Amino acid sequence: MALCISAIPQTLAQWTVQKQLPGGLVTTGTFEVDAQWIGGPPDLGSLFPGKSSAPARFEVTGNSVGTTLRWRLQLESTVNLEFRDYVTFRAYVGECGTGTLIAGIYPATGSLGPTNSVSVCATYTLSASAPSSLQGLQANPVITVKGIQEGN
Amino acid sequence: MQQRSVRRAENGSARKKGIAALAIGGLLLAGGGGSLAYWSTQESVGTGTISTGDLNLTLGAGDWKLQGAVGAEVASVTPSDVKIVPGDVLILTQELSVTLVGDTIEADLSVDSTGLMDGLPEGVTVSLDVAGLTAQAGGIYRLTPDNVGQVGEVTVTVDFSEVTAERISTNKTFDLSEIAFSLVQAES
Repeated sequence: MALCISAIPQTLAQWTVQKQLPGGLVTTGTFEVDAQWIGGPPDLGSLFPGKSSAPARFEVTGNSVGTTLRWRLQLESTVNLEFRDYVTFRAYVGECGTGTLIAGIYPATGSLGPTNSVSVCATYTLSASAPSSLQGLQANPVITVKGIQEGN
Repeated sequence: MQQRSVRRAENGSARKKGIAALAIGGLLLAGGGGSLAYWSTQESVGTGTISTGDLNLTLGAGDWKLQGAVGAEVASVTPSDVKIVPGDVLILTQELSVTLVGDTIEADLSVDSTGLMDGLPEGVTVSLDVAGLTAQAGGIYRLTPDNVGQVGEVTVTVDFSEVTAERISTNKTFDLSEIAFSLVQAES
């Protein structure tokens, strides 16, 4: 009579039980902002020392989905390097000069809803001390519109 | 008369031969496939009945609430009706009943999300909290018959990290039914 020893590796079986979480599908939201010129791209005209450009008007719209989503608007502007120390960018909610000045972020307190929109008026002012070497040069301003999700 | 006697004698011999032949055959059969029988005896040892233990998990009532990145907590939400964003926390308060029966039984309770086909979206984590008990590494709770009674209402937190940058994990979906309460008998 032959004695056989099993050499097949075996895993131990343990009791287990699993129960599904209730609740179904969970979906994350989306977060986008759109910026559109009002009345088409602006003609800012020419800048003179101590003077401001023609207003540039645009609308920023939240195109987002989120049950608790709130956001704020942040505007930044750049110009060519040689103009950087002599050009001031200002943006207002509403009309230039009379609306609410956007000091970096809007609103300063509170926040915007997922699909809220903001009408913005922006201008560029050339410093009275701008050197004559800037004459005839292009400033090439660029406005960057950012949506920042509001958090605790 | 004499002939009859002879015939009888012959018949008798023939019968004897037949019998002898049968007997030999029987012996042969026995020698070809038989087993030897040894003395044996047996006696029952009475120890009473032996029962197996039990390990089980049952869910009672559960309720989800949403704590947003801003604003007040929203009670009794249906997870499939909300769209979560970074900073949101979905919190499940769940009645849980754990059965552990066995002289040496211990079991590990956890929330298992390995069943999710595509995993959790980046920035989303799921964790379990059992009040009154301390979790081991990996958020696992070691249960014994001594402490299992402390498992009554547990909390599962689905956390969408507020530091999820840019537009990572926008418009993603995951199924809570692919996440499970898991109770596994401990090996040691």
